[in-house]
Amino acid sequence: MTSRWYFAILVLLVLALGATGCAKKKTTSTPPGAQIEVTDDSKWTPPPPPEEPKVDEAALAAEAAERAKTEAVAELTSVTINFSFDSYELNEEARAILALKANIMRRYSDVDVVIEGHCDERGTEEYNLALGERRARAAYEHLVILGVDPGRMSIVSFGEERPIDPAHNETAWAKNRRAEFVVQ
Amino acid sequence: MSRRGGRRVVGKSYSDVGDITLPQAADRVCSAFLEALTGKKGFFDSPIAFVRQEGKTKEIYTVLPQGRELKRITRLGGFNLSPSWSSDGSRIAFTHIAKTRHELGIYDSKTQKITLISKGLGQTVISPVFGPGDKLTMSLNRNGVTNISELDAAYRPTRILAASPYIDVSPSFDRSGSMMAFTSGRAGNPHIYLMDMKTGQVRRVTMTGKYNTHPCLSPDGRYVAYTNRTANGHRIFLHDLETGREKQLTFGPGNDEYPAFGPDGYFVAFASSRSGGYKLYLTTRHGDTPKSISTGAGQAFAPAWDTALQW
Repeated sequence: MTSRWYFAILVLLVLALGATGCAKKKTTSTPPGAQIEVTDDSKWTPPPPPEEPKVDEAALAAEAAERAKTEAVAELTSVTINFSFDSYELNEEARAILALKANIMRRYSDVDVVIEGHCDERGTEEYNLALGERRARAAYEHLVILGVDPGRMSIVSFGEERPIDPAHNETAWAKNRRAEFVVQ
Repeated sequence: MSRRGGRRVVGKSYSDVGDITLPQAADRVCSAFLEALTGKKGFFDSPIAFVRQEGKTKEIYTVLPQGRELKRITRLGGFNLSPSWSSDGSRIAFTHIAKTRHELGIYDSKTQKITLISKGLGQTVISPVFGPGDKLTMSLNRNGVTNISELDAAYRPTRILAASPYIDVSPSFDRSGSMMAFTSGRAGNPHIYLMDMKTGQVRRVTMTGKYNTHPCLSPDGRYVAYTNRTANGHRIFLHDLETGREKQLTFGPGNDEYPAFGPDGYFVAFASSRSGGYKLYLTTRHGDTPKSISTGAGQAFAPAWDTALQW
């Protein structure tokens, strides 16, 4: 009697297990060969995929262009051209640097610059103001020759008022005799 | 003032002399005394305009030659340079350097106002002075070269006084306005030149040295004081236009720059770095031992003496 009950319980358990285990499977009495539809109605949903980068080619290109422009402007403003004592003559290196600057300015036609002329401390103030002006003007005129619209450039001389290096030696003086390019 | 057996040279009495007015009374009696002795007046009461460093900016101040009555003229920021006086001492012209251009600054002591002018002057305004007839004269660059131009009363450039393809700056006139001394780079490096204002003829004044700048004509037109760059720094030299003789007035150390004649043509103010930073000093046209002028904190440059009392 007992063993018979046990058997019956076992059969029920197996059936129950089978029922739960196969709860998600819905067998139909479709003939063999037909498709068996399997649906998964569990509540689990995959986490949303990481914000899909919008593969917008135009935006990417604009970003790259903006980056290139920032770099070009940095190149335009960070590199000064230098001069000999009491001279506003453009040496070969200065001309090479100006050629690069002209390229940048031609490519980015909305970039306007102020060219600042500077001198070392050894001259006297008023003559240095004139000399700084001539240095800025020499750079300006060379850029005009290289095809930059003169309306996009203006010049200002600071004479000896704004040295890069305040030391009183040849290294400092050489650095301070310069034309600087400031983007407006 | 008299001494026994002598003659009274000058007698003055002042009422209400207190602690505050005593220095003024002293200046006045000294001035009267000096005039009685020499026929020249003005030393004690003629202010000197100058440039004072304040952090990264430079502003214009005035002070009497004995260091009294220090007065601020500008509070503009940037660099305010090269002050000079109108013939009656009522106005001061100067260069104002903003971020992108120079402007002409005019201070009027009657209204206590400063006017900044840039329209029509180009990007560059260097060494403005009041020339003959108080017409403003300065270096401008309106066509690619730095020339000395004259402006009309409406601040419009009317004519070019010194024209060369090189740098021409720092005009200085005698009292009559018949001569203009200036600096020019036309010989390859800066030298002092003199223009006859009637004929327009220019002659070179300095023949030696490689860097002679910042001339100041004495009010009587006989002397030019200027800055000569020597191996040991800038020094003030004096050129006698009558005899052609040159004399070194200052001997450093450091740099001695910006000579400026007083109204009597006897004292010469200048700026020197002999004690470290630049400060103002006084010497004479004979090169007497310089005496420092107290100008308060900060470096001091570019003295310009009001010579109105000699007009």
